[in-house]
Amino acid sequence: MTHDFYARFPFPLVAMTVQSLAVPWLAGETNRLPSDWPDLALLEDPVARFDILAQAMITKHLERARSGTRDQNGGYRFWVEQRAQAFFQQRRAWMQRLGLEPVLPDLTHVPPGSWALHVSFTLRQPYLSRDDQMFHLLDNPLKKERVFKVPYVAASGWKGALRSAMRQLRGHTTLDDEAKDTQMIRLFGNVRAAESDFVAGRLTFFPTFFDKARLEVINPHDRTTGVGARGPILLECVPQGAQGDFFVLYVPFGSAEQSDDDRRAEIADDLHAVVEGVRAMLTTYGFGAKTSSGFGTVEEQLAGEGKLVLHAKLAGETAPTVVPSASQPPNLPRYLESPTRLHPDLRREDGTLKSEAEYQRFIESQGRKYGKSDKQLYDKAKKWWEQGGQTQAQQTPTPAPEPAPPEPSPVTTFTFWTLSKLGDVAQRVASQLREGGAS
Amino acid sequence: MATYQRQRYLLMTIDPVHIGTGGYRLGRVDNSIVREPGTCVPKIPGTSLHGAARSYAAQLYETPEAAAQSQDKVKNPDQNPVCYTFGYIKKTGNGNNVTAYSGVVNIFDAHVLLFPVYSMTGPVWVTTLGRLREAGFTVKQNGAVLATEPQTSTALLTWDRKDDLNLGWLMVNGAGKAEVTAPNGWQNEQRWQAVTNRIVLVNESLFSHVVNSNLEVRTSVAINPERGAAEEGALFTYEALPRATFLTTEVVLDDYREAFPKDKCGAGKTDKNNPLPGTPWHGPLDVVKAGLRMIEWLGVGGMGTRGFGRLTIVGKPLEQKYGEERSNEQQHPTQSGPAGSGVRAEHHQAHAG
Repeated sequence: MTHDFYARFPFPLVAMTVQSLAVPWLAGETNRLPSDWPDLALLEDPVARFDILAQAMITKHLERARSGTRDQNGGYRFWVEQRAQAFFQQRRAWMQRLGLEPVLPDLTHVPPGSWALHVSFTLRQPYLSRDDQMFHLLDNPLKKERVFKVPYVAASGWKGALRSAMRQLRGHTTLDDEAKDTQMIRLFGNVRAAESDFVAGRLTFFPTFFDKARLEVINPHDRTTGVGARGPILLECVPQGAQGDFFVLYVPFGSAEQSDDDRRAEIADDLHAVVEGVRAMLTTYGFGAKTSSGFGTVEEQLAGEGKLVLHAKLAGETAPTVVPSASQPPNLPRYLESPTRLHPDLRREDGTLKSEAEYQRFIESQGRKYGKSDKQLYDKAKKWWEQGGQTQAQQTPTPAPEPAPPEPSPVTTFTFWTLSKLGDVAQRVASQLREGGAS
Repeated sequence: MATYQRQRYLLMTIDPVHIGTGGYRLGRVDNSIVREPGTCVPKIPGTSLHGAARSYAAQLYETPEAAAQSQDKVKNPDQNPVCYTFGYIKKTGNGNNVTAYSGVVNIFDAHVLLFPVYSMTGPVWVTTLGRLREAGFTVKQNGAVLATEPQTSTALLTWDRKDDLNLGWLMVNGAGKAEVTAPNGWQNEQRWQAVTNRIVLVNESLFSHVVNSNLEVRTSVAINPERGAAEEGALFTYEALPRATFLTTEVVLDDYREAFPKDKCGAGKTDKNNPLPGTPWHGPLDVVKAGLRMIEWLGVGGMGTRGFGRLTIVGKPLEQKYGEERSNEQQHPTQSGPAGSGVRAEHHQAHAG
């Protein structure tokens, strides 16, 4: 037996007729296996099938495998348009179970002064990128996650796009210009050519996954004859209207010798600058490939509620939002912290459910009244607990006596629905930060 | 008597992780990653975890100077839980008297346990019998504990499939079905359950090949700001452990001094009397845990700010005190493996730093 995957399914070596029957099967157009090649049934996964189909590159079936026939959509195009979305959604559900989809960080666990931004956007123009995978039917496949094969913007792509957008906003044209801009260095780290004084940036980026793909086409024309020069070029893209989530986390690492006021002013400046940069990147400069042809921009109106979360005391905030509501991943009931763990408010130190009296005392200790909605929440949590949450949580009770819980750090959440609103919010928060947190 | 305690952590990468060798080596990529010398399987060195945990813990405690190369700027290192945990050098009398204190925790290399590979049935996680045993997992076939590894060209799967399977470019023959059970503390973790029916056991000699030919390899290019186009000669490739790789590591507490300064951090306060993010620190292991938890947000290794290096702790660490059985682990009826035979004397009285 051969131990090479591609040699095991040698597409170009089978008879021509078998090849032409194999193309529609490998592309998922039909369920009828070519009777002369039953082994193909081993290829359960669509991406693996396209891996084998990529060998059609050296056969006459290349165009058929890429986009079908003159009058019928087929091949990779058929799959991308008809099947890909369900496939990507299924994969993303799996990634969610593994906790691989980014969520807003729980800022109570990161140092004070940190903030995080979540922008849920809709693409106004398609997003293009290029995969590292070299063996593919298309010349320009979208970059896909290595293990799960979902199209995405890598965190490194976001960082580069934002840095370049801010560079252009500030009019830097050389590395030297940028190296002199202390704020840019603080946010993104030293410039590439730096020989010493290496410094890490304060911004951390996260990937953005998509569940849609389409094929764009360009057709370069010959300058002298004015007709198509070498046939259409297919570009895989994330289409207009697709939604994605952009996250960025800011952690003010650095010298502890600074005064608190200076530090807060610096954080406020950074917040303001980054938000301006993010807006410019998303709406004007674009991200991904071919941005100069207008690709990779988003709508001003967001696809969902955007959030800015800040871990700091703010002037003018009478009661900081103590409950870090942003720490919950989306789509979880409010009484849960993770799918197998109760919310900190509702669980004891050992992970078990508090009694109702304990929960009531907790609510009241925060200066709130134990109202009807609190009781409803408790009842839901209790129901979940009794219906198997208890076994899921799998906490072995530890009787160790715990001291009084420390005073929770103030974490405040601000929401917005448009990118210009985000600008307003950032400006307000920045000025509150500068005024100081004497509360 | 000094306290010896061991914790075994199960970790999972949520980003690609790149711990570089720090230089150019002869290899297929420009920036290669650290590997175990004997097996050539990539790993996350204990020193990286130690350093990252120390640095993050020091930031959390609002004494970033406690993670500096020298602890000269720490006002009172004896009273600093981060210095106490990870070790420090104390200078007195204008720097004439130098006393070095070793840290009280040993953090060992994190080894790959389950490595994700794309196959003709979608993603699968590759491992070996030895790695699973070492980490406290039980492997059974037809109800009996599995004693021998599958042959070199074959693989055991945890789901029903009789046919051949590819692990990247490599085809292996199916050798039957196996059941893998995690230690009790991890069995119900959602992350473990998401992969438990997608595990492939191969022979140890094959493992390194499968891992090395399926590492995430990326190409990056620097853009010249003046021209807006790619910089000449700045194209480089680098490799990384891909997302959803599971690793295990051990943290051993060797609290020979028994003087953990918990006045402030035990009450949930930082050095500046601000609230300590997260839960209070009652001992060195809490400091380590808080530091490791931050890796979930800020990462370990290279290229952290561009989305590399984040690791998450899966479930609670398995704990064992010296002389006691492991608290929440399944017992192996026949084979206990090197990990189940009690704490070896891994007690390094090395210098601090």
